[in-house]
Amino acid sequence: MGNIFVKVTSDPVCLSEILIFNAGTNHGAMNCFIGIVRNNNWGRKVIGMEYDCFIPLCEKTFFEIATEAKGKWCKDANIFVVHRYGKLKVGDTSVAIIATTEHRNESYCITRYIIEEIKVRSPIWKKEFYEDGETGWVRGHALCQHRKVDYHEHGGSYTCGGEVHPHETR
Amino acid sequence: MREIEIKLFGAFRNYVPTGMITIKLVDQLTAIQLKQKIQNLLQNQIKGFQDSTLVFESALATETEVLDEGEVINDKSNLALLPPVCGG
Repeated sequence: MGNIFVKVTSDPVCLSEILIFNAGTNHGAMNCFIGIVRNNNWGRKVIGMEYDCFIPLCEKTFFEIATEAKGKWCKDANIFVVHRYGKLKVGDTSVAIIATTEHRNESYCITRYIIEEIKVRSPIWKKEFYEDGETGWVRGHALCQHRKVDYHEHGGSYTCGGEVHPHETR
Repeated sequence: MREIEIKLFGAFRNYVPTGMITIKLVDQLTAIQLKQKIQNLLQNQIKGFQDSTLVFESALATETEVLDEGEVINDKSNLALLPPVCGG
């Protein structure tokens, strides 16, 4: 019924290794979302990022989210989720999500669902390092106020995820 | 009296670089009551901690679940305080 593999790691994500993640023999689609560290946020030049993570609960949420995605779109999907912690440079891969399914639509839906849910449910935090030497923790989503995003509630588009809260330096 | 160790993450590391505090408990508390104790400890013992909202925006959790505000902290000896999250 498909496999789920999740990991939080301080090691660099090697895309050539994860792209050989096995599809099922009946799978005709592989979709991959890759998050990378960008060089700016809210008008400030970013030179690096440090990810903090509560690993055991984080990996549990990854597995739960992937299981939900399989239930919504493709029980047979194979799903791979890996997220970095520690210090990353601009251009480094912070997260990679791969889904293989029988048809392409489910693989798109699954990867999109997983990244949006990770952003609001998984215990991960990021600290930005700016060009001027300052640092700031990126403002996020309160877990105690969390509600799961329902793709279909929003007519097939998401209203949640990304940096939707004002940036705040703490 | 017993002690609970609480791991701290994200913005809390600005104030507590070790990422760990210990709270002494006499009475049985709910999660929200424990957060008030944490707020008091940080305000009284951590130099520079003046944030009045971060603790209350955060969630208490074990390694397997986020706790509801009203959940009683009874046999849990290791907890984590999780500020608002922003993975990806």
